[in-house]
This record gives sequence, C-alpha cells and structure tokens, in this order.
Amino acid sequence: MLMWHLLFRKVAKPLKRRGKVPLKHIARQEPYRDRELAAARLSRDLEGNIRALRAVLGGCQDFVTRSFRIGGSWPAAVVTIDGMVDKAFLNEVLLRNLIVEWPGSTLRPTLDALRDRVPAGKIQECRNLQDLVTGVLAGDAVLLVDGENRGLVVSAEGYASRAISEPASEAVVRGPREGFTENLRVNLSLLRRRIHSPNLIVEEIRLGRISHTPVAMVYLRGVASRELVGEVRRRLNRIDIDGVLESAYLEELIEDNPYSPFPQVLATERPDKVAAALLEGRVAVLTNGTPFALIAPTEFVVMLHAAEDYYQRYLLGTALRVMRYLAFAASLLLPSAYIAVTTFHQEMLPTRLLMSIAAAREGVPFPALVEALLMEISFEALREAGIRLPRPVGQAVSIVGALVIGQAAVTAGLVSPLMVIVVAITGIASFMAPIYDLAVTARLLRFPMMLLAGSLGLFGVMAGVLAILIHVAGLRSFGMPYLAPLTPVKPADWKDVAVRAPVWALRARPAQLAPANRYRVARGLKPYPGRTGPAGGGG
Amino acid sequence: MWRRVAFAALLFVTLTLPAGCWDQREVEQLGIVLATAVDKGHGGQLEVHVQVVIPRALAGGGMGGMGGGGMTVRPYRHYSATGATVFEAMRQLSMEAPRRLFYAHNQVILIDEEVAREGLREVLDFFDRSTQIRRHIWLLIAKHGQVHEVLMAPSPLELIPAQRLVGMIRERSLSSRFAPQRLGDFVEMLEAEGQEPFTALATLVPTRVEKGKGPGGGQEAGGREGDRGVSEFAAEPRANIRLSGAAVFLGDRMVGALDERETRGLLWVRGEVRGGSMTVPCGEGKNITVEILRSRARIEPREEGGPLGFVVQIRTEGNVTESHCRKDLRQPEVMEELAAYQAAEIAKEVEAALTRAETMRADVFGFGAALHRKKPELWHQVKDRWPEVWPALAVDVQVEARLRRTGLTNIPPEPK
Repeated sequence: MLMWHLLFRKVAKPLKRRGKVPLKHIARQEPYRDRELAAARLSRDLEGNIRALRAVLGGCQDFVTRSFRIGGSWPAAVVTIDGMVDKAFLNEVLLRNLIVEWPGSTLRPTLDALRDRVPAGKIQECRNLQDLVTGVLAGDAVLLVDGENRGLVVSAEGYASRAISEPASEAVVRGPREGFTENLRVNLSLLRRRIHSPNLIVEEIRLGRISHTPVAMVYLRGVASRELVGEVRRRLNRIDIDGVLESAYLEELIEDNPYSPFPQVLATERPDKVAAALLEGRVAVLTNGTPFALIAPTEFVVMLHAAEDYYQRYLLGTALRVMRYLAFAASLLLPSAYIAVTTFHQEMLPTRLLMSIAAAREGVPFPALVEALLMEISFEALREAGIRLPRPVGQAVSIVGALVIGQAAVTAGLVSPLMVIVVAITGIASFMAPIYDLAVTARLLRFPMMLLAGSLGLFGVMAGVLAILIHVAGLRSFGMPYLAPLTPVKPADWKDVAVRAPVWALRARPAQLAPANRYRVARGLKPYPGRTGPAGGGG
Repeated sequence: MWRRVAFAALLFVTLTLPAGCWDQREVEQLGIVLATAVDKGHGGQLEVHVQVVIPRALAGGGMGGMGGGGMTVRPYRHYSATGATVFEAMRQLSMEAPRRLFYAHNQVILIDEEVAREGLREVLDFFDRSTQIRRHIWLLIAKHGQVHEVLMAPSPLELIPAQRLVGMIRERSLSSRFAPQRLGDFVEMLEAEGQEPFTALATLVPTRVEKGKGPGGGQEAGGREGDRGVSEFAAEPRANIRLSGAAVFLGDRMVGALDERETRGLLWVRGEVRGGSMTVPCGEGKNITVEILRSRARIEPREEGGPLGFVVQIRTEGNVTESHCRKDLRQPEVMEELAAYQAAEIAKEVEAALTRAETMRADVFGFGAALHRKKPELWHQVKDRWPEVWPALAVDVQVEARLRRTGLTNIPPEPK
C-alpha cells in the first residue's frame, strides 16, 4: 500500500469532495452483551421499539428500517440488513402483501392475524431485542407492528453465495461432482438429498460468542453409537470462542491430541463422503461459512481412502489404494532413505546404481543432507507460492521453478540430477494423498526424518519411524483407536483397508463405530448369473 | 510444555549429531573398489592391487570416449602396494589413493597362482574377517604372473575389467567349463571335512591380433566382417581374459588344476551343471550338439557288503540344438539312443575328472562329506587318512540323460 502510494501519488487525483457524507459518530462505545439484549423486552410502542433497535444497530450503516402502514392504516415496520435479505421476496411478496393487498379491515391486525397472512416458509415470534437482533443479523426480516410487544422474524435470507461446484481439493473422475458450499443450509440439503431418512438427525448449535456461527452436528439415529454422539455434543458444547470462521477452529478445539501432527478429524468438501461416513456410524460437523465438513471419529487408514475407491471397480480401487499407501510412505521416507543410503550405507546399493549416484554427485558441493534440504525447501516454497499467487502468475512460478531452476541447479552442479528425481517423486507422492491434511503431515514429518537420516543413517530413520508409529498407535480419535483396524487387530475390518472389497462383501460396518447396527449389506448379494435374488428363487 | 519441547530438541541435537555423523561418508568421497588382487611381492611380502572406479568417466565418458578416435578415458584406476599382510598393504594404498577406499562393492578377488600354491589361509583371513568384504563375491585364481594383466586387460564391452570377470561368471552356465566359487563357499569348503576347495582359473589368451593375423587378414569360411570393424576403431587388445577349468586345492594349498572337460566332470558330480553344450557322436561318424538344461546328482556311499565305494547318480535333461546326422529326431527311439550316447559322454567326462583329482588326492567332489553324512562312524575311522584312502575307492557313475526338444526342425535340411 505504501509502495503504491509513493509511486502513484502524483497520478492519482483526489476524490471530488462534493456530497461527501461525514462519518457518523457512534454514541455508544462499549459493546452490547447478549444478556443485556435478552433483558430488553419489546414494548407495545412501535416507535420505541425502533428507537431501541436503532440504538443497538445504529452503528451498522447497512441496517434498514422500512416503516409503513398495514393496509394503509396500521403502523408497522420491517427491519432488515441490506444485502442479507432476498429483495424480491421483501418487496414483491412481503411488503406488497401487507400494504397493497391487505384486506381493508377496520380491526387492528393482531400478530396472529399477521402470521396467517405473511407468505413465508418460516416465521418465529420474538419478544426481546436479542432474538430480534439475531434474526436481523442472520438475514431474516423482522416485522414489528404497533401495539404488539412481540415481533415476527420472517425468514427471508437471500444473500449472494457461491453456487454448488466441484470440490477443488477432492476431484473425481467417476462420482458426484457436487461439493459443499459456504452455506450451511445448502450443505445440509446436500446431505438430505443423499439420505432420505427421518433418522438423519441434525442438531444445530450456534458457536462463537461474537460470530454466532451456526454449526450443525449430523448423525444417523440408530447407526451412530449414542456414546459417540454424546461425546461429540459434549465437546462442541464446551466451545467458548469469539468466532468460528472455519471448521479448523472447531477441529483444534475438539480433537483428542492437540499436539499431534496427525489429523484426528477428517475434513472434506464432498457430501458423498460425509454421507458414507454417516452410514458407517460416524458423526459429521458442518460449519456455516466453510465448505469443509468435519467427520469424527476418523482412523488413519480412512485418510488414505478416496471416495472414488468405492465408485470404481473394486480391483482398481484396491490397486489405487495400495499405490496410495506406498506413496504415503514414499512422501514421508524417500528423501531420508536416499540420504541415509548415500551417506551411510553405500554397501546397500546395487553396484551400478552406486556408480551412477557417485557420478551424479561428483562435483556437488554439499553433503546429501544439505542438498536434500535445499531442494525440499525450495520445492515447498514453490508449491506454497504456486498456491498463494494469483492463478496466472502461479502457473508461471511453477514453470520457472520446476523447469528452469531445477535444470539450472543441476547444470550449475549445485544439486545432483538424482536428488531432483527424488524430490520430484516425493512431491508427486505427496500429491497422491486424498486428504490434504494427511499430505501436510507427511510433508512436515519429512524434515525431521531427513535430519535423522543425515545424522544417524537408516538407524535414525528407523528410530524416527518407530517414534511415529508409537505416537500414532497411542492416538485416539473421539476415543476410537487411530490405527484401527490394524491395531487393535480387527481382521474382519481388513476388507476395507488396503483392499477395497466388493460392495457385496463389505457387509459389516466398522466394528468400533456401530456395534449395535453391524450389517449394512444383506447376505448373499454376490451376483450369481441365473439366479435373480438372494433367496435363490423357488425353482 | 514448551520448555520440555526445547529440552527434547536440544537433547536430540546433542545426542544424534555426535553419535551419528562420525561415520558419515558421502558417496563422492569414496573410492569404490571393484576388484582386489593379491600377488607375490618381493621379499616374501604380498602385493595388493585394487581396481577403483572413476564414476565420472563411467557416467559421461562411456560412449563419447569410444567414438573419439581411440581417445578413451579409462573409467578405472589401479593402485598397488605391498605389505606383510593384506590389510597392511591395503592401508598402504591410502598413501596413494586420494579417496577412502570402499570395499563393500568389491566383486572379485583375484589371487596369484603362486600365492595359492603357498597356502591361502593367511590371505583369506582378512577377506573373511573384514566387515566390508562380502562373502558372496567371487574368488578366482590367476595363472602365475598374470594377476595384474588380467586385472588390466582392456574391456570394451564391459568398461571395467572387474565387471567383465563378473559378467563371464554370471554366464558361466552357458559353458559349464569353469567352476568359480564365492568367497564364502570357498572358505566353507576349506573348513569342511571331506570336501576340498576349488575355484576357477583366469588366464590370458592372445587375441588374433597377437597371433599375427592382421585385421581382416584371416580368410576363413564365411568371412568375419565383425572383427575388421572392431579393429578399425581402437587398437585391438592383445589378449583376452579367459576363465577356464578349476584350480584344485588340498587344504589351503593349490595342488593343480582340472582342464575344461574335467571341470565339467566335477560339476556333473556336484550337480552344478546348469547349461552348456555337449557334442555327442551319433553314429555315421557325425555329431549332434545338445544344450544342457539342468542336472541333478546324488553321491551315495555304496551299499553294505562289498568294499567301500560310491555311487554317483546323475540326471540331466537337454535339447538338441544342432544335428549333423540324418537321423529322424521325430522317432522316440532315436532320441533315446542319442540320449544314451550323451550319458556315455557324460560318464567319460566324470571319469576324466575323477582320474585327474585322484592323482592330486584332492577330494573336490565331496565324497568324504557324503560319507560323513551317511555313515559317520565309518567316516571317523578314515577321515585322517582320507586323501590317501579315497583315490583307491571305486566310483560307480550312473548317468540318466534325457533329450527333450529338437528346436524348430525335426530333420536337417536335405539338399535335393
């Protein structure tokens, strides 16, 4: 900004001062507390109510009070926040109904009469300022009538929001293209559209002392265990924070081990993934304002499963999963293994490979550890720059970074071509993780592993792997073991770990999730040509 | 919490860095040794040669160097030093070699015949003991005085002589006419009762250039264009390395050698013939050639009753790859007849090996070991006199040969 100012101050013309509205002085400096607002009951005096509301919302320039007379005679007002309400509904339906099309009655319209006349899907009564203010701020229109000490909160929210689009972080070739949006209502509808069941329970809570963000806890009654639902509810209820801007705020407040580098709650923007999780007996937490829903509990192996595994033929799904497990290991261990082997255990390499490596490293001025750190850090920098920069620039950066710098560094003899290959493979492997959070974990742990490899060789790598394993084995997600079903050993659930068994074979839900409702697929559904049903026909 | 984290980090650094980094060695600081040779030095000392790879020349140079009109950069370098023991000589090398010599990738140990004749126990002690040298590398004996030349013989196909030797050994079953041993196996044989060690011999054979036939000079049937092509590029090496036969040891001393035919006889008895060709007379004064596919052998001490002896049962399978006679190979009887001829030929090879080994008294076949396994009490009676006892024992060689396939034609092309 300063730079801009210095450069362009002579060119930029000052704004014309004509008709400038000076900023208003806001009388009250101390904030309104919820308790204070809740205590302020509405009176029967319309003007008084509006005055009280103005005092609270007067600091908001986008706060609009439209006073009118119902049927041309009875004073009333509609209070809204500009931009939060559906203007067409407000003008064409609500106001038109109340002003123009009001039947000329001589009686003062009571609130109940109004309720019958207002064509809106959702109407609530409010008696105090808090309900009123909350409604207005959430995008509802509040109808106040002279002579009533209550108001009607008419649902009229109609703010612009992003359309449903393909989830950017979890694209599929086959499968639904819908992703969550920032709107909680839309997101819940996306779930409802997938599970038409009265047992799909949505419990809503507003979190954030100031932000009052709607947060929904979703689960399937009769599938999710009651203890789990209770635990999630308890953890959400505990939260007392000023604002919830993204589900990550909640994640950090409800996870089991706050210091772990491993994500213990799965964040996804795919409604089909959430629906699948609900069907397995998990609980989802949806937050208004973000497309990322949280799924709890989450095991480690689930993080390596993509939604598409279930949409493709199971052989391919299995093959991809195996590859993904390997890729996770590679993205965590490849650079450190390379460092360890080339600086400590040259005897482990095949002779010809050793000679190629030696030839490639000839003239490289750094030890392998420094070389690897250099390349990994610049790769991470490139990746970060590519994400943050505006899209067209970002592409240029990645091209310059990948091709030009990589090639130039090799030609200049700063790094060996093999290291470039290692870093590139590691990078690609880390992109294979279907959940971004887990890829980040591997990226993060890679560096201590490299230091271990550079100082202690494969011994260090093994020590690091052991430390990670010990940590992960002790992790829990909402009380459920993180490494299940690997440990504790649940062989029955191994059908859905590295192998993705066919749908007809995945009969049982994961054992630790839905103990009361184990089976989701009927017996004997394996297709059998010539037979039509599981019963085998009556022939 | 943060204090604990900081403490852990400090602990991590102070513990790992001094503990680990001391034996850190970057690849490019290593002199990768691919072959080691032990020769006789003057004054009863040992002379050790090592062949060190120059990776840079190997990576970039290979093709470019060859095309550059004879201007080849040799991708390896030799260092030699003498000392009273092998290790002492090896450490002497560090005064000449700029890099730390790294023996974990050593692939061949070449030992001079004279050194072998004086006994390998002392020489092998180091190689067996060293943590870097592996037990699966090859141990070869070179004809006296040829160690250095074998190691130096230029090798255009494999750029490094050590790899050339390994390459020949890898394809040993194409001929089965030399019997190389791995270091570990050799040491085991050395220590085993009733089994004398043996390993292949490396010799230099002059190439055609050396024999006086200039490039393209020899007019032979069919003409050999290939040779001329090679000779025009670079000076044709004067000698080729040839692995042949087997050096035979009695205890740790080399006592003689088997020739190529006898070596295969040895390999038959040991069941180690995995391939190779056999030319078998098929009557009519002509031959067929059989490619050996596999073989198995059993050595059994002879049944109770008569004098001690051994039965060697050899089973083999092969394909007919060349036939000069006009027999119809489609007939099963013909194949059986040919197989019988082959079995007789194999028995002759085995007899030749037996005869030669008996003169050296070295039980390279492992008859003693077989006796030890089957009749331990008998073995304990004779084991001290075994080198004198076994040459006199009768060996009954029973060969069962089978011919499987005959290639793409059944009968040879018939000019009409």
